[in-house]
Amino acid sequence: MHRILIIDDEDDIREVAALSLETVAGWEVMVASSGAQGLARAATYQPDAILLDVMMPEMDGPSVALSLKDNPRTSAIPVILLTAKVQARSLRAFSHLKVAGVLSKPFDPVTLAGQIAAVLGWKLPAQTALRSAS
Amino acid sequence: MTRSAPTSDSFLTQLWSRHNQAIRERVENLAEATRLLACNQLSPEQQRQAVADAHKLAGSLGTFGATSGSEDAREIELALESARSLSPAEVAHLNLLADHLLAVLDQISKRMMAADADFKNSMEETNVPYAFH
Repeated sequence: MHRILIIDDEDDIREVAALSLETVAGWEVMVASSGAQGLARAATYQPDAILLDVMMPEMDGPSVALSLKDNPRTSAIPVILLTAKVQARSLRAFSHLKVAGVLSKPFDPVTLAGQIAAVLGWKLPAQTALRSAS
Repeated sequence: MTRSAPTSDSFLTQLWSRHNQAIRERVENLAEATRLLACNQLSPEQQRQAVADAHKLAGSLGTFGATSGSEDAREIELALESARSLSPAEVAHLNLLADHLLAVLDQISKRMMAADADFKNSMEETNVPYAFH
């Protein structure tokens, strides 16, 4: 089972993403509500990947990504940025961070796990536990 | 009898019930900020907070199925964070967008209530209790 850490200061987004990944993909999900907490949890729990919000108070996503790369305990963990700013200019600003990918907000809870799996080359369970309402 | 999987709507309904009050407060703060802007009474700190609220709403409303709400919030965010001063027509437009966001919240709540009723009915039909946790 894959283990993923979600770092996002927004309670609702963090909870939707966590339940989505647990329900759809069956992954083990850890959460952190700030950059500092995320860095500590990443070093302690050694997740297989990190889903990282870009805009957070105090320590933003890019700063967290750089700190993760600077720490030998976390430097190899792939990071996926989650951002509501999807303009080309913003995406170019992330190029130096050496992240595995960038996903946009708002996301669809049904397809989020598939998007992450596609970025990381992971396989999803054949039958997911959450189906589209439509 | 096999229980069907929860739908994305039934899944989101549980989360909406927990977070809709906080989201509504963000929208109401944003609507107040656009009203203050129209009166030239929006302070720089209030403007920064309004940009942050708009950014969060842009990232979350679509996840709850309100794509137009995310787009409106993003338009407000971009307008408020731009350095240039806004024309009266642009400010009036932002007020309309903020009012629309309040209507969007009501639409989400109605849809979530309907989804919740459907979900409970389906659980009664299958006679199998379902807990998200």
